[in-house]
Amino acid sequence: MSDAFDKAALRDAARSVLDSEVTPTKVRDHLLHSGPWRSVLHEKLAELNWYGLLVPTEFSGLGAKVSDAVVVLEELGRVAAPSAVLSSMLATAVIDWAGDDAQKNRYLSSLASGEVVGTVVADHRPARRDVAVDLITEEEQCGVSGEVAFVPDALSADVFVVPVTRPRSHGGPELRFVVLERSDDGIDVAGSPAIGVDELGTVRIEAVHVNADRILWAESGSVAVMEDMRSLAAVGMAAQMAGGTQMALDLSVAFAREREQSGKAVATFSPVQDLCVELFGLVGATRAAVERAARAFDVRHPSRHRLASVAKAWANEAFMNATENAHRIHGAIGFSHEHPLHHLTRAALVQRSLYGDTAEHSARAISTSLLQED
Amino acid sequence: MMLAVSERDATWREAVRDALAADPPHGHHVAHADLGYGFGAWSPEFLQFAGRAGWISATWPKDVGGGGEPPSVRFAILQELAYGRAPAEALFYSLAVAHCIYTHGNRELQDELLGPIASGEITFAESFSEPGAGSDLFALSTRATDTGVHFQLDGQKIWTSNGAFADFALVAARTGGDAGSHRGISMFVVDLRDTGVERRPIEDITGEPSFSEIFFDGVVVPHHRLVGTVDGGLPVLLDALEWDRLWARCVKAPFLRRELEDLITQLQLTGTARDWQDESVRHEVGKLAVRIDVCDAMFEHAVLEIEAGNATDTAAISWAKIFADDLGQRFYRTASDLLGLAAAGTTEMGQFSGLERFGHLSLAAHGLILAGGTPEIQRATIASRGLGLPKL
Repeated sequence: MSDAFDKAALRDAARSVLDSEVTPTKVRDHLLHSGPWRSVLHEKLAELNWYGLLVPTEFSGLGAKVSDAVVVLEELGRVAAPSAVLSSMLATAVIDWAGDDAQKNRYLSSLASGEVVGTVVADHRPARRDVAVDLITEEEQCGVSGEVAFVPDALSADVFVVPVTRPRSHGGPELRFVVLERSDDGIDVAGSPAIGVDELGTVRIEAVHVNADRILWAESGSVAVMEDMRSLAAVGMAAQMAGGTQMALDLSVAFAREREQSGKAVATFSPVQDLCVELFGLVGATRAAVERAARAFDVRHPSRHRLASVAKAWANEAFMNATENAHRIHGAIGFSHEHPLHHLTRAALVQRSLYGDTAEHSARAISTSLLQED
Repeated sequence: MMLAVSERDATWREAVRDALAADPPHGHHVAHADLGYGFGAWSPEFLQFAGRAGWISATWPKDVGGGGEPPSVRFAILQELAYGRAPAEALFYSLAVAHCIYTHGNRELQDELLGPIASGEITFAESFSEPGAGSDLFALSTRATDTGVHFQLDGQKIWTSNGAFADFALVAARTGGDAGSHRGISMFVVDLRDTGVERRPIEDITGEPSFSEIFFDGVVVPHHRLVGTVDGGLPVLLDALEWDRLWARCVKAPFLRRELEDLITQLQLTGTARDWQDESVRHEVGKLAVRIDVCDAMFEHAVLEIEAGNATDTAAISWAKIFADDLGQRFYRTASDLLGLAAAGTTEMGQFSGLERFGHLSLAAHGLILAGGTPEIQRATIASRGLGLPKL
């Protein structure tokens, strides 16, 4: 079977678009006063069909594999692009895995085209991992209530894929996914200002009444879908972080060759070279871990959950270490708001806690033994 | 279950697992204990077993009698042997030297040696370092003189792994130039059992004779045992070193995964310093598990790149080597943290499992970071070749 996508060509194309669309100046302006640029960028990303990366072609998506999608996510992370590509991708994946034909018809094409933006309303905090949203079903109607904080792209989203449980008093706990829409009565979203480009918000769902056609019945089982969603989120975010790590290296090497001290480039000082070499290692390791997890996902290998957690646990530390090294190489200029390095530092600080922190993913990396995966 | 790179390699992985299950690797005699590289202990007996199974020549080119399998199959075989704790150190050296012979050697040498290598009848060492030439290999001064009838080899090597046990060695010697020059180096296959070769085993940090001094005094080396051209040995030497960084280290992750499973089993028993139920203990173990898989991912990436026909990324492989060796040290340090004195025990030679091995392997880990080039040498390679930074 030949690959539908040439990864090198995909990377080159993504990089050339993003280098002109997502300049450091635009990102800095966005951080200072988020204006209309995010929606301009959204239009561009929609044109590229990146919201439909994983959506099957019959629903106007690109039908890409996870190992192709991570190439695009790496490039988005490299320039610290404020995009909802990953959030929307997760929503499309859950609907694709768990929805019936009518539900796929209703949502996938419009999500793929970027006409609407999606997100998965799941809590990232390990201590709050239990699904916080209740589902009460009465006849053909169901009522959904709950509140989830730090939901990525909550403010931009039109479609909310919400994992819900039926309370014990109503025959639960039983996991399901429901699809809520921004226009549903009882949905309220409040932004949570965060230091990075990632947009976060709290989603309050107060007795939202929807019909049973909004419940995704997941023939493969909602628990399995939830595991896959968590793993895809982990590997997708790790990919963005791998891209950020790459940019920390690129900025640092360029700076070290250019900046002179004592009459010669700082790149000629051995301690500076060591920091650059360390960065080089972080990039290679993170990208390799992401690629491997993505490849496991492509073939639905049983190790995909472990490898996704490995990639995220590693990326959480690698991206932080990379920005720290980069700051040491850059000196004072890297501490200025004018210099783009802090776009990465901000991303590292936020993204390491999104879709699972280091402790959670390290634990997940040993929670299944190799034998159990067989 | 390990993630297979292709269906082909999955078949090989299964074959290796089945073979090891039918004939458990600890049944084979070993010359010295496992140092923890990942390829196990030195066992000529196991090498013959591997030869009969077809594992040695599976990935050689077909025109020299090999199986023509892709590099991912070599990766699969070596990784499964490592996870299975097979004593396959001699196999690693046979693969390394065979690679140099079929890539750079003359037809006569190929006809003479590839058959016996494939069957596992003969064993090899690689003899590069000298008393005055360690990290700076160009300082080597062992000399090969062409008498017109044959080469005559004079000089001294040191730190040759398995130099006391191997039948042959791939030797770097000077046919021209002075010590310090990168010109005038030639590579030879030398029969270590020949007249004029004297070997003195050196006890390593663990007390095992794992490496050796080798003295050459007028040793006769036939012309066809030259690998590459006269004075043109440098590409062969660099190829051999690159081979070591990749193929001698890609076994680290599966080897340590097996060690990690042992560590977890021990922690679940009572009597260790720390309790498995303690969340901080599981966190430490989880961090090791993450690094083991990241290490695996880097080597897998390197193999996939080679298989795709892309140029070898020397800098990336250098980093993977640093990472693997660091991981070895890190693993046994964490084991020491978690198991306490139970991880500081000693064991009899050839012990294949149990935490009695951990003390021995903790010591050995300090040597492995040096073998095949120190981390500092690798870092210099990355700075210049990977990042294009100015040479210091």
